[in-house]
Amino acid sequence: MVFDSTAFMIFFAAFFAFYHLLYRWLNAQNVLILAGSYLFYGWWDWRFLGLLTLSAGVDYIAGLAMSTLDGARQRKLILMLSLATNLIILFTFKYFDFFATSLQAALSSLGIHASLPLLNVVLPVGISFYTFQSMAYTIDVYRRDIPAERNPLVYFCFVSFFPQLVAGPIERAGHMIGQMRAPRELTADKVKEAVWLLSWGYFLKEVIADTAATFADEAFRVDQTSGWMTILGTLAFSLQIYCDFNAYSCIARGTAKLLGFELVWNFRLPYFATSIQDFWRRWHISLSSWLRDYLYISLGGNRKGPRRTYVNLILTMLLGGLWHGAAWNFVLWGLLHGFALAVNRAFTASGRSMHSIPGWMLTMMIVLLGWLLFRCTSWEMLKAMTLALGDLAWTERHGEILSSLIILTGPVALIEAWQRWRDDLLAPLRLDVWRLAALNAVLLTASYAMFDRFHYAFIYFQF
Amino acid sequence: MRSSISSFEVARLVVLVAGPTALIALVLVGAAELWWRADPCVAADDIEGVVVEEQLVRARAAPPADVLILGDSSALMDVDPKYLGELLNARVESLATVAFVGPTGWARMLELYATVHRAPTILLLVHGIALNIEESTYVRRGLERWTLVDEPPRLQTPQGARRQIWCELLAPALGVPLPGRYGVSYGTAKALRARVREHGSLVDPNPPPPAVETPYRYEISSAFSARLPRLAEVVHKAAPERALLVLTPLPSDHSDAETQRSRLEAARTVSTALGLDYLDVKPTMNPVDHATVTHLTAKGRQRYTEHLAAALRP
Repeated sequence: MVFDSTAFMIFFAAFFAFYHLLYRWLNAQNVLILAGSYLFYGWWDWRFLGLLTLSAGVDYIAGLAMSTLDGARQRKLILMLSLATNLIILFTFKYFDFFATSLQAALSSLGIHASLPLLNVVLPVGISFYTFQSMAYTIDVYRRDIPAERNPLVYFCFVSFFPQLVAGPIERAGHMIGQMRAPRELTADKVKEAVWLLSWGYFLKEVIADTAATFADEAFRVDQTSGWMTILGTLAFSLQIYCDFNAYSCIARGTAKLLGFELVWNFRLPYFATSIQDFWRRWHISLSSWLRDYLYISLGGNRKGPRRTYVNLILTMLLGGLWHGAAWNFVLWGLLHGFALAVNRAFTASGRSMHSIPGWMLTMMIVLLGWLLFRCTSWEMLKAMTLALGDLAWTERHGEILSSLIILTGPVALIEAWQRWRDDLLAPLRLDVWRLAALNAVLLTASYAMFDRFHYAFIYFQF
Repeated sequence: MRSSISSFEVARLVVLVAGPTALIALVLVGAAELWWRADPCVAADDIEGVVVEEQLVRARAAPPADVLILGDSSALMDVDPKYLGELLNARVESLATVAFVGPTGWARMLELYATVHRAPTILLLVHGIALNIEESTYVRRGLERWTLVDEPPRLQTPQGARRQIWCELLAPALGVPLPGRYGVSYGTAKALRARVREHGSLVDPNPPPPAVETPYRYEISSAFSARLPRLAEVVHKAAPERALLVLTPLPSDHSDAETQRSRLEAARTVSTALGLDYLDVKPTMNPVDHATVTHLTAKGRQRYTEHLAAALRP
């Protein structure tokens, strides 16, 4: 089930009503969350519910086992078993065919013609999100940052909580499990925030992201010959991916809030970043903090000297790129960001600094170059889009696309400038009741008019 | 353990907080619905709607022509009227629309044109698929009715509001391209509209589809047959010197002996019902000349126009 579908609207309305009817019974609410989450996930393909249960079940048992054992080696062994199970699931379903075909191509270039078996399995939606969330739990238990959860209902609710199950934010047990155990409180302020988040989220998806996607699709082609289309297409995609993913995060936060839960913010105005490090503090925060806490720090972080720090940064971002998908464009995208972070670190370590405006411009250049790599689905497309930059003849169509992009960016830039000026992501909530209602209503009406018009799936579903 | 507030309180909170938003949204949607009813807008990404609307305008204002083309989207896309005019050294105009307006809609185009001009030659070009449209499809698409009452298809509340907001406000403001290859080739509906207005025809921008060996059988639906007398009557009233029926081509991989037999039988049935002469122009084209089963590519269209000109020459 996806947020921008009639099925979800009906599902959530029924779920919300029934959920709050059970206000006297916390366990019953949790049972409903679990059943609803499995229905939500199984709506897409019920066969992969087993995978979700396996991943969560292994980590639940691993957590319990680690909590009863004191021996460091035994605890480490259990952690390794848990991580191996999750990584094998992830590798099998997401990466096996990529590595097999890449190896086959490499061998072929050496004159060795090997026919490696391919699994050709469908990628389970959200697999990278829930395995990372579940793995973080076992690592936290191993590090004794949190106690193991004994109640299986609470734990399974934490892993499968439907608002954030398939595209995040990737939650931490320390933040969510306590909420799963506590009575839910719904206040006027929470409902007000939820209505705003839903209005803004649906507007970002239906109006901005999906419209920008039409321009990106027009530009990203293997037979592209216009340099301006490469530039405008990259701008369109940068708007699309941000609004698409931010929309999902807003809707996830809004729906969770209506159920009495607080999810983490996944974005903090990333296109206002003045350095690449700053960008990663604002973009997909739940993944970047996961990579920092469980990968970068585990690799040694910055504790083993500057060179090792740079290597760790590049390696972390390379794996961050691969997290997005089994394809070379994601590897290149990760490497680009890794190198940029390493250069940024070396620059700041030398005691120098950059003014915010050139810093912002440089950051955006890197980010946009990254999105070009991210969106090119084949080497042929990347080659065509790059070579096209040699022809910068301006046509009427370029003017039309540019003006559309400016119009699309307008509302996002306005709201975000306001949020930045107020230093408050919920700045619109400061409006009086009727002004806020009018703003919400305009956003929702525009979303309704565009609802289901372009049929673009949320981009991060594929990860 | 229990939640801190009851379901009644939750309902009260939701009504209190979300109520004003819902109220204003309802007012906005209601206003758009009224706007739609007063002055309905053609959906900005509805290629067929743009074609019908523009050709209705052209039918009333087209210049005098020696050859007038009528018919479905294959007539619109498979023949280049300007090139045909050059080849025949004649004035050629196209009022071709789509299959879903049916013979009644084609008759309406001719009727509007005939109030101003009389074309010596009328060419009705139809693809086999257009002969087999069911009654429910004519009704559901609403395009036939549009040609008769000069009004886009009615939509149920609040779909009209949705379309009006999209069509009048969002699509023009956002400059959304047409779907698929049409977007890449033409850009927005505005550009497509200008193209139809200027040329009365379009080029299907799709690349040739993968080859398939699926022989086609010509069949005529009862709904199509029932609409032929009206077209026959209007053609008769228009009193052209020559009135010809042409069945537009299929990809050659969709044709076998039985296809050709059923084609000739269908052509005979339709031309007899309409009182037209059947002009047997190239029945199949190379699959690479086809953008779809019904439409030709730009090159295919050029070749077919040449075949048509050769067949039309005395």
